Amino acid sequence: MAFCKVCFQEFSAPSWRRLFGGEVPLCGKCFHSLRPCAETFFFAGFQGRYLYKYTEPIRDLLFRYKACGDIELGPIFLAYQAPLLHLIYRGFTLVPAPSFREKDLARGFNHVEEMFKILFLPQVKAIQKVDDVKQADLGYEQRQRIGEHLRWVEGGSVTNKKILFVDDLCTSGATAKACCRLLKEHGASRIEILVMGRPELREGKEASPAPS
Amino acid sequence: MSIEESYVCPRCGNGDPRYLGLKGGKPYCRKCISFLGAEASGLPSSPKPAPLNLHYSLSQEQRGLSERILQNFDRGVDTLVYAVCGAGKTELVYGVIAFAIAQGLKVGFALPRRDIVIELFWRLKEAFPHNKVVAVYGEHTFALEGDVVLLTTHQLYRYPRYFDLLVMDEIDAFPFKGNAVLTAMFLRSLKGHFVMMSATPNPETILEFRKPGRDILELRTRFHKKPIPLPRIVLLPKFLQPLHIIRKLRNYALEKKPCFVFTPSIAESEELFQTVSFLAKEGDFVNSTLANREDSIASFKEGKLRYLVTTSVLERGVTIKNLQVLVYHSDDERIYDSAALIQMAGRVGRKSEAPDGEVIFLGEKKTKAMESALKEIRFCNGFL
Repeated sequence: MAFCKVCFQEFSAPSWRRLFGGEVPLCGKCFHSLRPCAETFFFAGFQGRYLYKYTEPIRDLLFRYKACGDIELGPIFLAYQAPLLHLIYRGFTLVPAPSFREKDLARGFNHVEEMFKILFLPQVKAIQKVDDVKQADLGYEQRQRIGEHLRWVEGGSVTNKKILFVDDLCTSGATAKACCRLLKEHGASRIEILVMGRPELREGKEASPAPS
Repeated sequence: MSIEESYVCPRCGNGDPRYLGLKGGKPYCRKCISFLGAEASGLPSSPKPAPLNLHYSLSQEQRGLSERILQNFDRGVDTLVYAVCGAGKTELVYGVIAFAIAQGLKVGFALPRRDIVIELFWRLKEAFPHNKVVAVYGEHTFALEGDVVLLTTHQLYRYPRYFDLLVMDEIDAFPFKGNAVLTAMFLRSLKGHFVMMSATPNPETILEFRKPGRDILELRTRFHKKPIPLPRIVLLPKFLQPLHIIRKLRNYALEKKPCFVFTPSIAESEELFQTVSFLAKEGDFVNSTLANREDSIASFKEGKLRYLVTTSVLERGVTIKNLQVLVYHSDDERIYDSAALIQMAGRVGRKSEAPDGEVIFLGEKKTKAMESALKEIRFCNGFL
């Protein structure tokens, strides 16, 4: 028996999930209320995959996780998909989406790293965001210029590696596109994208704004 | 003893290890983590006159109770005001609020629901035209300090040890009722004494106020001295209830009477409205998930809409002239306890110009909650 990190109720993980070992921090009821899905998308020649429909519960959880700094929510997002993702992304190297350093320090952790830790893949922090720009506040056109705020971290070698670019949300895909191009320039042999949710972009703005 | 076992949250007093998180090796409380935001500065306020502007006079009972609340506050006694729906509870505390402002004390008025906060904000502003009344609720937290701070119970965390006088209304309403974090935040924000008000306090609260140093004041009649309309129970199968509602709504439309139709859940409010709106025009539905519900409520009050299908968001603190109430699926015991039923019935006949109205509980069976609600209303009407 364990306690669910979201609803705080006692539960026991489903038997199939226990077969793969490890602790499960999320009860099945909460997991299904988050509307999990397995969808793939393509853009600019890169294949991507997202794991949840972007709905109200995910939005609230992300707010608690990112804005309130509830680090315990880190492992819940991939808890059920992790066994399968292990198989899909064997031999990949993780590159987390760039984030502004000061923001991570204020929060106490990097939300993307914490979220994808559960995959146990080697991580390379190859890209850094140098300015505090928030994509959620910007329109479509401005989002495309994200590349100007990104910087390649010297020493982060990705040459001839299979790279998995991960982020929590991918709305217009501007950040992902810019990062994937950077990774390709620096010699990554194969690049795939894995994000948790894909909010829809409507009229140049998001339907419901992502939490900060 | 490990850290996990000994940690007690300094903010909400939670010591349950299941709510404990570890960040960089340091424990933190996950129960109240979402209560995050700017806190009030707590600068001392100076005494200032608070002339009360009421364009109606209080009844004799109201004046007597108002005086006793003031005396209790002055003596340092916490008060529970147990008064029926429509008794004029809010007016009872104007006296003590004016007294506290004049003394330069910090005054707060907390309610569980934001819709009622918005509603009450205009009433308080009217009553205290020369003082600064600020409303603080979710997404409206620009000004935190004023002569009277009107806030939702969720915003109390911004005021640690702040209020010399805290008035709590509708203490038995969701989400405050039974919420340990909010109760802790309430006690944390309190520096002086409080006045609690409810039409339907639960027995535990009443017992709590029987202790020494606390007082219960009761008001069993409405200010206009007319009985509270007794609800009628109509037993019908669930699929026939919408038809009954349609018939009633069409009648009310002819008589030009506004009407609330209460539903137990958000999903049902939408479903019922879709069914009913075919045959009863000029209505709308509101629930807590709709962002534009204030517009709907405003146009209902202006008389542009004939009826509103609503969840419990409009169950309390709403006064509309000549309102009629229908309760759909009122035998849903998970949602409707006797307090909720009494509150919904208490929406009717609140104005002295229209002291009567119709309350109908539609259900497949008669529940205990319905019976005790009827009993309570009959009991209060017996005081006339």
